[in-house]
This record gives sequence, structure tokens and C-alpha cells, in this order.
Amino acid sequence: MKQNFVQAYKQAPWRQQLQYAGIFLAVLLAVAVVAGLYLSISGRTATTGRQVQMLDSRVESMKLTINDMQTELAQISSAKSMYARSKELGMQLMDPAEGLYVQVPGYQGLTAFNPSTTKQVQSSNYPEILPEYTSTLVEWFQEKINAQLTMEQVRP
Amino acid sequence: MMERKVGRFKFIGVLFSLIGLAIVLQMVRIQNMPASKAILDVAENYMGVNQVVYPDRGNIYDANGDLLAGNEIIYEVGIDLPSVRQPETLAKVAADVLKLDYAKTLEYASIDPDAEGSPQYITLSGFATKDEIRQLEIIEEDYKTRELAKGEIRPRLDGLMWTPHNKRSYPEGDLASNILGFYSYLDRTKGAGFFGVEENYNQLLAGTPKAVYTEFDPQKVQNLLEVPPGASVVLTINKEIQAMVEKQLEDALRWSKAKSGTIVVYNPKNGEVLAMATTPRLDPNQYWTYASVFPGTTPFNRAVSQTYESGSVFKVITMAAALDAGAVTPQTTFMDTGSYDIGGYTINNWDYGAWGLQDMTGCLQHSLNVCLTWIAVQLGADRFYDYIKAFGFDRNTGIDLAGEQHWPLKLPGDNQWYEVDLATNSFGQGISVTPIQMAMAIGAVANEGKMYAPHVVKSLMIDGKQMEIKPVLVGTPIKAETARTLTDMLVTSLESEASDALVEGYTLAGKTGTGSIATEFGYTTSETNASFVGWGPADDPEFLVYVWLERPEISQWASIVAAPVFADTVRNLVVLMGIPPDNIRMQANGQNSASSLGE
Repeated sequence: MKQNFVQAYKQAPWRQQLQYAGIFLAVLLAVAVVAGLYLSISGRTATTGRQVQMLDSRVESMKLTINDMQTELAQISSAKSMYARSKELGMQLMDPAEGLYVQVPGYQGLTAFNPSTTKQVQSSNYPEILPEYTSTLVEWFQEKINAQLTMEQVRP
Repeated sequence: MMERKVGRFKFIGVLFSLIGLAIVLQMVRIQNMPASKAILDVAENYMGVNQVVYPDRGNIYDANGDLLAGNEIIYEVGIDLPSVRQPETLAKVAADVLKLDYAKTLEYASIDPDAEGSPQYITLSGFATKDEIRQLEIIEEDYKTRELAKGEIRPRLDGLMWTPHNKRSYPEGDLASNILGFYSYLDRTKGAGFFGVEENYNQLLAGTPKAVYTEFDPQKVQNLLEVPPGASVVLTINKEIQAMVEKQLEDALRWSKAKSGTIVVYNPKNGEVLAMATTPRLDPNQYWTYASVFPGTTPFNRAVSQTYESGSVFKVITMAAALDAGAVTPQTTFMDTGSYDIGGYTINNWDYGAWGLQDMTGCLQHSLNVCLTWIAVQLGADRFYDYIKAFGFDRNTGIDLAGEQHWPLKLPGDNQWYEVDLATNSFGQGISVTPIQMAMAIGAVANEGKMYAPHVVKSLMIDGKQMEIKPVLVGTPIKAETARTLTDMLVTSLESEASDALVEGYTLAGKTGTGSIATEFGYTTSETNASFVGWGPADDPEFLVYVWLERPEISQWASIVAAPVFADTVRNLVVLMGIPPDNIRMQANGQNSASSLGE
């Protein structure tokens, strides 16, 4: 009875071979797709990584340049340069005795220098790298699920 | 037939399996053979680089944000030996532009990098300027683009490379150099700050160097580390006031023919040093001239490092102590006979004259040594020296500049202390002080008895955060009432004397000091230290100016030499600080009071 049952549902050999070949090809295709994806992502990561390296190098170079230009500006506006330039323009130092103190309503004078409010070249932060380049697929998946769950919770 | 076919398939299967196995075995063998270790080591060099990254040195700003010390680009020029194609061309261009020895440069460029022990890279110049690099770039571009005659070989600079790096720069030259100090930038790995702010805050300015492994693999870009720069420093110094004070000092030295000079402008209300000029001064951009600028034991900053016998400006301290202790009052009178015997010695006045009956203001106005000796005796040695210590003359002020010194104070009971010292100390002889000690101590008289530690740094910028340096109250050596009384006495004495220190429109308190200079045989020469201390506006002081001229030749008296320097400095100072004349200030204060009453 059992033999008859097996025999009744047994596939023809050529059909079985075709199925094996199909499964093999399907697995092969899946592996090729994953490998292709992996290659594509890693290629993009490498390109972006190289861009980050180049930008990092450019940032360093620009920091040097900005520091250099700040120093050059300070040289141009140094006390000695300004004195020499004003002398060239025919100006002369004021005799304090000839000065007249005039009160200007509302004028508060120079405000104290606060370096934290100025653009400090040296305090720039390292550019943030997107999580896509640092998190794993599992982490990304978890994050998406968590985000979805949070959305569900806040939804009225 | 079928069996033969199967046999062939089996044979091919076995053959391919054996080949595969052989490949795997060979791979394992290659990976584990000794030579592979060497190959892996070589490969390591292409994976990344180990380097120590030195942070950018922090900037130094003045109180208004003007840059006093920063960084500028300079280049290291070197030869990458494996890339050299035309050593002669490279050597000629490098030697011409960088002003190097051609033969030596050619020798370097011709080194075979593949020879055992040969270097791969040689530095030609660590500090090539931007102009020099521009010249190299122009030449390189010309070589690349020039049209060649038939058979002519294109000249190439392959192997010559330049990389930018920072160099310490002081855009104001020698302005405030005695405060800033300098950084020995020629030593790129062991450079350090010397003197002044650069030395005192060296660790903060320098930041923390980090040993970093930088991977070339773009996939590991997240491993790039940022090395935070050194802290930036904002000074209490005002560049414009500093420039003005330095000019006043230069004029004073030229006019008085003094050997050296010092002017300190100090805010007695919080201890901020607004300006500090001394001679000589060095351009910190050329710090290697230090030995010629400061020969022998010449101090870098006399204001904090050189003690001297200040003479009569010290009478302010003696009078402050006596008034505060109740030993005398402004109305106390003293009959000056012109001499006072103490400890076997006779004390005389500066003019060897007798000035008759004097009140305490008169004693200060005429700067009577005999009177001040009597006051010190009335006060008693113990109390006198207790006050001297309270004013901080037995220690450093703690100013945030490197190299501060103080003179070891002799006290009753010490082997070297004699009774006559009480007398001489009372008028500023036999006791040595630095100008900054005097500014701090007399600042207490100007500021209601409160004495603040002098400092030159206003705030620090660390990792983008600003940290304010709070004023430090060192002590209250005298009562506020005493300080006010003494200030009034000094205003009166200055005005009664019709001193050269007076400035029209402003009420100032001040005192001259002519200190004799001791030689190994005693006070035998006419050479003096001429000093003046004064502050204003007397009722609400915003500045205290201390002037010291060493060995002036035009006159030995401070009233002639130092007082006019004080006045000239103050005349300009009130303009730069925007301090209104007394009448306008009083008027404005009156209006403010009236409006607040109206509210």
C-alpha cells in the first residue's frame, strides 16, 4: 500500500533533474544578487569614504589657510602698519590736550571681545558620518522597526 | 561503453579535485612561509600611517580681539627619492629658489633609494616661505607647458615636494613681546613657549599631541581622529593702550637718557593689567636674537622679574599702614629737624634740610624721610612688617606670566635685619620690589583697601568653550576708610606741589619715588631709580599707572623725570579708555542720580 502511494506521487526522473537544476539556479541567482548588492554598496561606501578623506584633507588645508589669512589681516592692521599708513595719508597723532570729550547719548563704547561668538577656525567639528555608513543591516532594520513602533504609539 | 564514460568523468573529477586541493595547499603554504611575513609588513605601509599629530597652537588675542600671536603657513620642501627623474634639474631649481648649496642638493637628489639603508625622503627646507613655493609652482607649470624644440628633453621636477604646516607668527612684531614671550617654532617637534604668556600657558596653548594611526582604506573613514587644537587665550591687554605706553616709554628713555624703563597700567578694581611696557623688547618672530637683545642677566620683563629699591613711592605703603593701625592721623604733626638717629645711624631728608612742623600730608608732599622714619617707629617694627607682608611684599604676586621674581624680605629677628632697616624700609630703601608688586599693593590704596592679583589673561577658549578668568581678591591689607583718606592726602599733596604729574580736568592721586642705587660700597653714586605711581579718577579709579626709569641722566629726581611720563601717559590713556573729564563725569553721575531718584 505504502509502495503504491509513493509510486503514485513519484516524479519522473527528468522532472526531478529539472527541479534540482532550477533550485540550484535560484540559489545561484540569490547569491549573485546579494553579491551584486554587496559590491554596489561597498563600492559606494569606498567612493564616499574617499570623498570624506579628501574633504577632511581639504578642511585641514582650509584651516591652515584661514589661520594664515587671519594672521595676514592682523599684520596689515597692526599698530605699526596702521601708523605708517595713516602717516602716508597725511594724518597725525592727536594731541590729547586738544581733544574734546563729547557725550553721545546711547553710545556704550566697545563691547568686550567674546571669542566664543566669533567663527573660530580651530573649533570646527568633524563632519558627521551618516549612519548608513556605520550601522549594520540588522541595526538599520531594528531602527526602522523601532521608528515604526514609535509612530504607531504617537498616532491618535 | 557506458562504464568507460563514467570512468573518464571520475578521472576528470579526481583531477580537478586534486588541482583544487593543490591550490588550497599552496595558498596555505604561501601564507605561512617566512617571506610572507615580510610581504605583509610591507603591505602594512600601504594600509595606513602611524604619526604623531601636533595640534595647532592656540591664538593669543588682546582684550578687543586683535590677534597678537597666531599661526601662518610655511612649507616643508623635500625630495621623495623614488620619484626623482632628473636630479640635476631638481637640484638646480631647489638650490636657486630656496638658496641652498647646489652640490649638496644634487648629492641628496642623486641618492639611490633602493640601496640598503638609503632614506626614501630627504628634507631640504623646513621653513620655505609662500613666495618661494609660488616660484616653485611657476617653474613647475612652465616645465609642464613649455613648447620644446625638436630633440629637447622636457625638464621635470618629479620628486620635489612641498607640504604646508603652521608657523608661529606675531603680527604686531615686538609690540607687547615682553608679555607674550615667544615660541621656538624652528624646532617642530620640541618647540616650546619661553617667557610671558607663551611659557606660562604653554601646555594649554600647545594642546595634547596624539599618536594617530591613519588608515588609507576609505571603508574605515570613521576611524579618522580629530586632534583638538590648543586653547586660545584672550588677554586683558589692550593693544592700543600697549602701543601708546610703549611709545611713551621710548620717548621717555630718549629724553631722560635712562638705561631702561618700565610702565605698568593696571586696573586696581579687578587686577587686570591693561598694558605693560619694558625695555629691551624682542621681536618674537626672530626669537633667536634673544642673546643679543638680552645680554647677560638682562631680564625679559623687568616689570615682573627685576626687583629694585623703589624709594619714596614706598612711603604710600608706610603711611597706609600707620593710618590703618591708628598710629597717626592725617592731622598728626611732626617737627622735622632734618635728621633722625636710629640704630646707630642718622637718617636725613633727600635735601638734607629741616622742614619744620608738618602734618602727614606735608610729609608725603615733601617726601620727608625723617618723618616717615618717625612714623614707622610710632607704628613699631612688628606691625610695620605685618602690613608689608599683608601688602604682599614677601612673595610673588602670582601674575600669570613666567619668570616672576621677588626679593626675600628681611624681617626683625633675621640675621640680616638691623634696627636701621625699619627706617630705610619706611621710605623704600633697603627693600626691593618689582613694579608689579608695587602696582598690586598700591592698587589696594586706590581700590578701597581691596587688593586684586594682577593678571594678563581675561579668558581661555578650550574646545570652543570660553572660560572666564575671575579676578582674585588677594586680601584687604587696609580698611576702605584708610584707603580713601590716603587717596585724599595724595591728591592734595600732588595738587599742592603743582606736580608735573597733574593732568588738566582729572583728579589724580600719586607719589614720586627717587631711589638711590646701592653699590658694593654703599649708596655712593648719584645714580637713581626714578619712579612714579598714580591713579585716577581719584574718587572712582579706572587705572593705576606705575612708571620706573632706571638711572636717568637728565636728572636724578623722579619729580622731574618720572612725573611728566606719568602725565603724558595718563593724558593719552583717558582718551583711549574713554574716561570723561571730572566735570562731565560728575554731571553725568548727577543726572543718573537724579533720574534714579525720580524713579
